[in-house]
Amino acid sequence: MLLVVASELDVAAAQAARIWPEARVAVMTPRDLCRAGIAIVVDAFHDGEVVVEGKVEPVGGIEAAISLLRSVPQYELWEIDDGDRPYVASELTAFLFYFLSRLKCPVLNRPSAHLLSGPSWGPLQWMWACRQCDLRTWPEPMFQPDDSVPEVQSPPCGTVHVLDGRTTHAGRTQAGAARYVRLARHAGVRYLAVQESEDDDGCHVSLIDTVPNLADPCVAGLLRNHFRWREYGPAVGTG
Amino acid sequence: MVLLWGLAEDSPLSAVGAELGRLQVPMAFVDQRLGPRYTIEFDGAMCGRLVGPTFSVALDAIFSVYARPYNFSELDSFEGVESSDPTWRRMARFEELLSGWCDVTDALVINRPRQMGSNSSKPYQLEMIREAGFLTPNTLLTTHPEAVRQFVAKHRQVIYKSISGWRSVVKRLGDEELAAIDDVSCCPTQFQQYIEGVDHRVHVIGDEIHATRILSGQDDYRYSQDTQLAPVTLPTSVADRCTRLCRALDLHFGGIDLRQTPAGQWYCFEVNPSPGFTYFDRHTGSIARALASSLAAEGGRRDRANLCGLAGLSALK
Repeated sequence: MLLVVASELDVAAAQAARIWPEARVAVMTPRDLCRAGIAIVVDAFHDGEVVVEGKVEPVGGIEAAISLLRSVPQYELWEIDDGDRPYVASELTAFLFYFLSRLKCPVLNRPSAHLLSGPSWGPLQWMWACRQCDLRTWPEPMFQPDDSVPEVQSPPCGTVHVLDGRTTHAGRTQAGAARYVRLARHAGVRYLAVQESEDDDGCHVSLIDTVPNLADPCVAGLLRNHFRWREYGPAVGTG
Repeated sequence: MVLLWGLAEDSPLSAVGAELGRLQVPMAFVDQRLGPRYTIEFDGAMCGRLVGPTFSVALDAIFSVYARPYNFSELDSFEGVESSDPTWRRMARFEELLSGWCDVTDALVINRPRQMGSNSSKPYQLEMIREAGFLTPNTLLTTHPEAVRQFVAKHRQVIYKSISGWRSVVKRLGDEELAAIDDVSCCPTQFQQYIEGVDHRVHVIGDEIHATRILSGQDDYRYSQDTQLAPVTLPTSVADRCTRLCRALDLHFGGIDLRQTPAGQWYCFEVNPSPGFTYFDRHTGSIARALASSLAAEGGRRDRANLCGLAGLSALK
């Protein structure tokens, strides 16, 4: 089973089973986490059970996992009383952080405490990481109390996707694909989307995301080719 | 210079500030209540200046940081302030940048924001605790009422708590809770085998151990009126496991909850990456001093490193 952890409102995730018939995709939503059936003993994790699409499934039957959720949103807990939603959202996010960290099968991307797909880095951490990889980024933030310095945003000119050491294309910076792959390794992720923008000095990195967007046909196609293990065997890396 | 970040009324922060004052270590304090009045400017190489109402300091002059920021949106000054308000946005941006700098600077940071997340998920942290060589209670995460009943049948005495960092009182599962156990299907809950024994809180600062034995009549001593504390020396093997655990979590300062059973086994329940230690320091009297010394020592280490570098240059000439 390819487990996709996603919002119940994510149409692309729900359609994944149709576009990936060979992957036996099943979608776990926050609603599943609020159903009877989860039972995991911490030192026997892979003998445990979780609820996926309303059915109890063995943890050991999960062959790969993708999280499309950044965290569990309160608004999606429609069966939970309003006053309890902040607590329950926190509990479900913490559970998923543990669950996705612990799975032995390939996970794209491993979670961190505050982001269920990749490191929970802010702009400054990403800028620092780009510097380590010799990538030019947006100008460093200067904070003024009266906001008198407007943020200058250069228009985007394309997005490069990195997946397990390969990129969709070389991008428009002179750095090329190799530095984006280095950036992904530095961040400890298998999947990365890097938006490029252009200014008077040329191209630079303007936005980075580690959460795949299946609504983007390029991303959906990339992941579909990557997870075609029924045809080629588990052609996914460890992680 | 040492940077302190948080609230003036925060006991651990003010205790460390007082000790730094006694050591006459230069320090700057970012007071969250004055948040919108601070600026942080970067000059293009992750260096720059931090400017406040009473100071202006070059970022690379800061050799250590003790960070205990609270959620600013819960401060009185932000009551009723919406996230769309310019003041709220400025505060959020400033704190995001300062937090980001704390993550990437080569100054000693107690503790880096990226390392604070391990206890946002108790079972996640429990795995790391086990890997450090500690015993941990048998733990069940479940939304399945029957799984709870089977767990209780196996362990007889069971406690339950939240999975996330959301503060919850640790409670024993009694008949009243068991009667309503079907409610567990609404949200995964953590159940643990109850471990009989004596609580210990261990504060680790680098390689230093400050251990306190806790005697209390309640399951959660934090909420007990009859708690008694006393400093204690841990067996070497246990102390080593504590320092190894903090190193594995990349924490320069951690508060570790242990329990010693009547049979002499040591169980570990949790590591707090930002422990409020003053409650224990009233009895040990050493933690704030040790923290301040550790923060101050980083300045001396940097000076020696710079001198060695200069000496190396002289040798080359």
